[in-house]
Amino acid sequence: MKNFDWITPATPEAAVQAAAQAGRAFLGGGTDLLPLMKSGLREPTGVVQLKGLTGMERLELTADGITIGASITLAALCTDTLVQRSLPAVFDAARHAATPLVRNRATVGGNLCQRPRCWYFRHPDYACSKKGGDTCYAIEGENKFHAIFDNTTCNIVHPSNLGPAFWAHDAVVVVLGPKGERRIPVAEFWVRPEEDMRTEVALEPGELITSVSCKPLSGRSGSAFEEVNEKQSYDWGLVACAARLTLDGDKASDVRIVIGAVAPVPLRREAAEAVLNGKVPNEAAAWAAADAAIAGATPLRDNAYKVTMLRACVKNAILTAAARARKS
Amino acid sequence: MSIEDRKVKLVLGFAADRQEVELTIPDEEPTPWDLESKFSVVGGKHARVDALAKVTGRAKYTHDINLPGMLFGGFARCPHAAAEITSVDAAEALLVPGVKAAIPMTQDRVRYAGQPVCALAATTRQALAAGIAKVQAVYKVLPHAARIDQAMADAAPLVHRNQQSNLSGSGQPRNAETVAAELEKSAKVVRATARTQVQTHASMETHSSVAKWDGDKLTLWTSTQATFGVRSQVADALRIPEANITVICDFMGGGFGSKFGAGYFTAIAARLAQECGAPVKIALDRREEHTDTGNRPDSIQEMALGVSTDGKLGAYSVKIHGTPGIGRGAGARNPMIYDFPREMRAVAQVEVATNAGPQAAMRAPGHPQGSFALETIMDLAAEAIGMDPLEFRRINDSNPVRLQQYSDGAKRIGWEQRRKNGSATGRFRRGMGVGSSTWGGLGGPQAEVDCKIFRDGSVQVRNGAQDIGTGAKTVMAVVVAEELGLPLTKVSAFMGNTSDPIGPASGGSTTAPSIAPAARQAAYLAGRELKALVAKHLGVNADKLLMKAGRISTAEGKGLAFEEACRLIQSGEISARGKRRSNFRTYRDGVAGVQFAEVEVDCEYGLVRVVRIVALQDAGIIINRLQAESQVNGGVIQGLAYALMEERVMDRQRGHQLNADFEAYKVPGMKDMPEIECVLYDIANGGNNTSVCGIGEPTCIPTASAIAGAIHNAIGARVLSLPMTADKVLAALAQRESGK
Ligand SMILES: Cc1cc2nc3c(=O)[nH]c(=O)nc-3n(C[C@H](O)[C@H](O)[C@H](O)COP(=O)(O)OP(=O)(O)OC[C@H]3O[C@@H](n4cnc5c(N)ncnc54)[C@H](O)[C@@H]3O)c2cc1C
Ligand code: SF4
Repeated sequence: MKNFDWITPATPEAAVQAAAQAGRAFLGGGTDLLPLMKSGLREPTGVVQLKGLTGMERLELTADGITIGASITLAALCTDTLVQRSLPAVFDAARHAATPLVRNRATVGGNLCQRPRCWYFRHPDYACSKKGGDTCYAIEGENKFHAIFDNTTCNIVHPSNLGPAFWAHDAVVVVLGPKGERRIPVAEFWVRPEEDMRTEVALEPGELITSVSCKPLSGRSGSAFEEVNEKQSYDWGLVACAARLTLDGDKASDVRIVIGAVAPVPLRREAAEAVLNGKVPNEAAAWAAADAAIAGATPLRDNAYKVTMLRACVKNAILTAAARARKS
Repeated sequence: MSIEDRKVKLVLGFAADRQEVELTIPDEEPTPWDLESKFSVVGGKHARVDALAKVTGRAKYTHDINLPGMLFGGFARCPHAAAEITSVDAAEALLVPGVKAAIPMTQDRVRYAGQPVCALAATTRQALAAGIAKVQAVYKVLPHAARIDQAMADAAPLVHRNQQSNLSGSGQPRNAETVAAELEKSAKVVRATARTQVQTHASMETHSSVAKWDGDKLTLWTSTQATFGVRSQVADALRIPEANITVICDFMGGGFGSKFGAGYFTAIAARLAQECGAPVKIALDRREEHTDTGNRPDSIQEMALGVSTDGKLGAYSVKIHGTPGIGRGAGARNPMIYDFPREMRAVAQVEVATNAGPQAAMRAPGHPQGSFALETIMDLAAEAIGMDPLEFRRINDSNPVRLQQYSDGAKRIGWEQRRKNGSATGRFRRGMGVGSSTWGGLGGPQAEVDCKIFRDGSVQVRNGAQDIGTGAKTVMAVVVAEELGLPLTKVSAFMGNTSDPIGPASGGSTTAPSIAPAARQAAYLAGRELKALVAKHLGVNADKLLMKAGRISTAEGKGLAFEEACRLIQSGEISARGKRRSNFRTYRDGVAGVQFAEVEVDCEYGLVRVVRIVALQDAGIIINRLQAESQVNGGVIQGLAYALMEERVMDRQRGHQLNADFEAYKVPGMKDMPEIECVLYDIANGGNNTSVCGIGEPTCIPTASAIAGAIHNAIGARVLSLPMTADKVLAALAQRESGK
């Protein structure tokens, strides 16, 4: 690891100002930044600590919905009753991520901005396309954990659990930059490899996420996040799905289905939503929606199993969301 | 029989199979413990003597050794899986502030990614990393074969220059023709190919050494399974007298077979230290640990088994391919657990060289691989003739201990509730499976132990071998406490310094059965001296004195408390040395084990949850039940990891290990743990004066096999390849569906 300046601003504005200098990085919990620095994948000249910045640790109901400060930890998210009641998918997603140790440090901002886990990306001896080279090694190489959708240029899967869950709750990412505040609908927050190979998120250099606002459940509605892991401790998801629906009588309406860990960015599956909208969300309807969700998958040599797994995962997310809606 | 020899009668075996034997033993040997022995310390549940030091961090491992002025050593490594080295130049590295020395490692060819090419020492870790980055190595990259499939392909690149092929092996095995002919005649022939993965040792403490010179004397702190082996290997490598070297390993964070040798890094640390005139520490990082310190070879095992309609085993043939990387020795052991007619087994072993780090012995080398294949074909054969797989094993296994274990285990797991293969329905399906093991672990010379009794009544026991975390130190203390009739707290045990008496390398589960008998003999001899003092003092016959419950007294109660007795010692201490003699007659020539598994398969996701493992294990007379159970738990956990998760992944394109970390190299965590029920058998196996046998290795052998059988039972399809990850389970389910 190279030496770096250690900067401890007191306000988000001061943090943004500090980060305006090229080569500086924000530090949330450090659970991703530090490993990247240790392996030489990132060599910031300065690290701007985000701990204790005014307003970034709030978690409250506002006119915007539920506002979650970017420095809120995953541990705080998955022990909060407001989140459990009003954003169950977010609650589940935080609770399933990583380990208690990591969750105690990992922040919401860092979770959205964490870099991919692709083992070629993380290996110091592979200069793949994402690192400025001209090859995606995952195409011909060991691709068991890679993308099954949108996987022609770079085959990463986005590792964030919160991403799909936030999307299911129509989140808006609030960002502060040198030019002031921006509000980015979560649908526009992700950047595909085809748009820009070097990043996964639509932040300009030096821009800081200050909070995320989510639409809480209302009426007879429910949401859920379902994830499948090879290991039940300390593992990233193989496939994931966040689902939200509202019951209109016994029929589903306003359905959101967002899948994760299967493409370079989280994907909203509008075709699957359309299948479920207006139907009784029972097992058959959930499977039908799941079939629509996996349509168009283009698995690689070693990851066709993910399609089967995703189908069941979507079905289960829908059924849990529906069960919660019925109980609400 | 010399005058001092005496005859003793022993009862060996266990309740269901008692064997009386008569032995002649020398004067210095205590009467061996047997089935009739009554114990007060042995067999209890004792926390390890260094438990507190370990949990408080007071225990210092090699990684924790930091000496004044110490430098950090490390390696520049080759980023190619196969290459010719044109040049290695450390001149620029030596200009980096803090870099003190560089030793190029002379060779002209690199054969695996991550092979070291130059060693450096620097004042800080940062300076070391900066120096490593400045080592200029020029390579001519060659085609590689990092994976077994690549190395076996036609026209594969040759891993070793001087060989015609990457494959080397036994050729036509013995009995091949008889077996082939017999298979032709068999009522039923079952064929299958089982595959196992490369597993790395994944010790928590990576390989590490600290070297410090005082004049021509060298002290080495090292994380090792063989303190004395390190001493002689380093003496050889540096051409210095063994007498000048002290090796210290006070505590050790895991080895599992990967730490038998000194490793290139230990001698290099000593050389760097010599060149810099300062102590040098080399501690490998996790990537180096995974790629360059050994592993369990993979295997492809093509089997054919003939069975009669009434379930008797006939001919068996297996052809095994396995890769030792650039090393040697990749056999999958397929031992005679079941009663195959001896001439009816044809085993062909083929070693496949690959461009990967050399293999190393790993916990029961060869056995888990062999077990997975053998138990697979056993289950398939049972299914083919419509017989219960446990019954099939029972009628083909004549080992009395395992027969007992089959019936005890069946009761505990609830085998009678097991349903027919594949009859479960719904999303979550349960199943049960079983697997067996055999292991030696009898120990033997050379091991010597000193026992000292001090005037203040305290007792010390010392051996220079290492306690690799299995609890050997505590085993010595328990044995000595038992022999002297003291509570365990009265005995201090020391291990891990070659200044103390010689001991074994920790391999083959032989440490306890090698040092425990020496420790007992040492205590016996020291105790005898103390008894003589008491006898003289009280005017009784020494032969009539017993050492029990902290007293030395006659059966009638005439005697002294142990502390009082010790005050009779004139010279400050009694010191006696015990020596491990070679084995006398044993009950069986090894230990027996059986494991049962119950799993639940989530058929939507293909995920396997191990609900329960019942592990039944014999390890001779159990010295410390708590540690023995801990060994069983550890073996089962490592076996479960082998069954479901751990796998070294090599990139077919450039030949690097892609998961040389603890993220994608998956070691199970807390939530993946089943309930582990451990059943120990106190079997008086004889062989040595404590009747203890090793337990470290056999417990990891049959776990994966039992889990595989349980999955088979649950889903009605066999997963033929380890680890049995969700993708493979889903594929097996899909295949079963399409076959319907
Ligand atoms: C063992 C393990 C398992 C894991 N499993 C999962 C899992 O299953 N699901 C999952 O979602 N995650 C998982 N993670 C990832 C973990 O959730 C992330 O590492 C964590 O959320 C990152 O948060 P952090 O605060 O530590 O980020 P940091 O490491 O501090 O930062 C990460 C990146 O975000 C930037 N950043 C941080 N905060 C901000 C901000 N406010 N504005 C702009 N940029 C910012 C940093 O500059 C850096 O580039 C796992 C991690 C580990 C170690
Ligand atoms: S998937 Fe992306 S990050 Fe991984 S090797 Fe390909 S280009 Fe690199």
